[in-house]
Amino acid sequence: MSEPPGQRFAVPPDPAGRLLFHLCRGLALAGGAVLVAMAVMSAGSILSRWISGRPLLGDFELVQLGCAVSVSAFLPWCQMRRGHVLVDFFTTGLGRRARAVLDGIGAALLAGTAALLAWRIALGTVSLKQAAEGTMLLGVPVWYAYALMLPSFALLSAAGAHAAWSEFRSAAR
Amino acid sequence: MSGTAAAFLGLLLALLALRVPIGIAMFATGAAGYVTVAGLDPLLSYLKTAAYGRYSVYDLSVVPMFLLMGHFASKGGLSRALFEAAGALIGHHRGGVAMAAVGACAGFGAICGSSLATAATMGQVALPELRRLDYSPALATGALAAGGTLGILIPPSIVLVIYAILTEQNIAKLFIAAFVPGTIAALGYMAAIAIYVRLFPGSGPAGERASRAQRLRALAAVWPIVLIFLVVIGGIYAGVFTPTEAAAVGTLATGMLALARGMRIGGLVECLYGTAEATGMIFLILLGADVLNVFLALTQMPAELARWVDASGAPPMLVLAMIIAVYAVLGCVMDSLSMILLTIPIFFPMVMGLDYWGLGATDKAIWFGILALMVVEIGLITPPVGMNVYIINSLARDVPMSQTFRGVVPFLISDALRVALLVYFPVLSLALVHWLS
Repeated sequence: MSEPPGQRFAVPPDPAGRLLFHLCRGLALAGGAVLVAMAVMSAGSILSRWISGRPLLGDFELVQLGCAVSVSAFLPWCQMRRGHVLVDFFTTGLGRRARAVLDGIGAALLAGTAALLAWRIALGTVSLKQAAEGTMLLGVPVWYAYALMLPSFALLSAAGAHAAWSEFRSAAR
Repeated sequence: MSGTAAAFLGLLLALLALRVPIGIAMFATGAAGYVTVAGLDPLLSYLKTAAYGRYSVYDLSVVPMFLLMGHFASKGGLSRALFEAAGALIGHHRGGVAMAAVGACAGFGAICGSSLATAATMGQVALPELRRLDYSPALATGALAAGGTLGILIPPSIVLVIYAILTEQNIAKLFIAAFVPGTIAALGYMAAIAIYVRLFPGSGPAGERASRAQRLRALAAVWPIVLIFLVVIGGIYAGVFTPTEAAAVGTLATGMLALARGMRIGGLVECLYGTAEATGMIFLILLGADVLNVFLALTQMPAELARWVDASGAPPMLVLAMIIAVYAVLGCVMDSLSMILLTIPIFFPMVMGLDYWGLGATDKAIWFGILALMVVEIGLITPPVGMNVYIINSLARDVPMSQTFRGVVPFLISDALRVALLVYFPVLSLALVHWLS
């Protein structure tokens, strides 16, 4: 069974870890603000439909953009809290060091995946900007959302790399 | 091509067993398979848009919103209000306080889409009271671990949202379809407690009887929850709101209620952090599953498998029994959402290709969705490890894990009976959907 989220959690003791911790938490808060703004806008759209018979222009596409930006911003914080679930059923019999090595490999894979995605999203941002692609009704450039997702994946990669480093260090002790 | 798919599914299982985060294991397997089948350049160009494409889905925005709503409800003390109301109504029966805890879980499930959140919040409220009244530790912890699964069985349900998106079904219809089975689940759990306290006298003493005035006061404290549930679910179904709008209204209303009941700005920020963590967990798996499923679709393995099962002439009920067995086994090692994301792309075409009770395509999709939801949730309370059991057990440190698992057994029996009931009587899931449309 996957581990309950957030059970093995502590603020990292090293300065780089502490910096990452605060960056991830700040980004999560920003994502939360986007989420609340989306909720307020959707509720506003209902009100506007009742009052004027028309929904807010472009509410649908703003939720799409906001959803992508906001959930991406939550990913690094989840990693900081060691909240990404894994199957620990087959490895409970292993010693502490062996488990730390496996967790280090897992975190390194996560860091690599996030770095790959960040790189591709960066290229995607550039090509979307050149193509000047906008949303249907409001014409909001889609590359805005891509550009706002980029720091999330970069930070996720950094948080994963830091987790890998501290797991390997704890395995060496 | 199916051979390639099978080889990579083997790789996936190996990565999972070696503690790679589930979303990353799916992503790595899917990406490696994609490169093998289609080459590196197509993968790289797909990855440019993969994350935005997966996350910018209008209906998916209900997931973080419903999670935030659950956090608000918990911070606003709604879980305590529900437990007190249920206790005032049925607490004076033998085993009644445990039944009240189950009832309160069901009520909380009506405004929360997550089992873990329901188990955690109701456990904090109800466990001390059950221990104070000298309930047997097995019954007290077992009832709460099982009751927690009502968080996701009773709509709104995050697993159903994901199922609806994967299979392109209507979220509103699935929510309505889950209502009767969810209620049966709650009643079944209460019946399990009633039988248990008769078999083991003294395991669940009766609580104090509440006066009429106390009952009215306790009930008055929960009317906002009823109102929010009716507005959210009713509004979605009546077509007044889209699911996102309903979730937005529900979240804002629950948030204001929590603020009115004493939540401070610090509490609001805590709710946002908690939502961020739970959302991040779900969306990493979603992204990984997306890459994996794009690869599986390239190999045509799900379609080929469905054709093969259909041509093999195996009785549909046998196929269904095997699917349920796979869920039961996977449920021992995996969380419900990962199971749905991993298996639905493979099982869904299989089930849709077979005949069950002569159901039409939409009805069959709804019926199977509810069934899959019920079966994956059982994994949360089954030995050797079940996440709800862990959460409740961490709240009752003095109770050995083995006791909690023993306490869960009556509820597992109730679960098995309910699954059989839903298999043989699709009308339980479908009647309300048909009646309301």
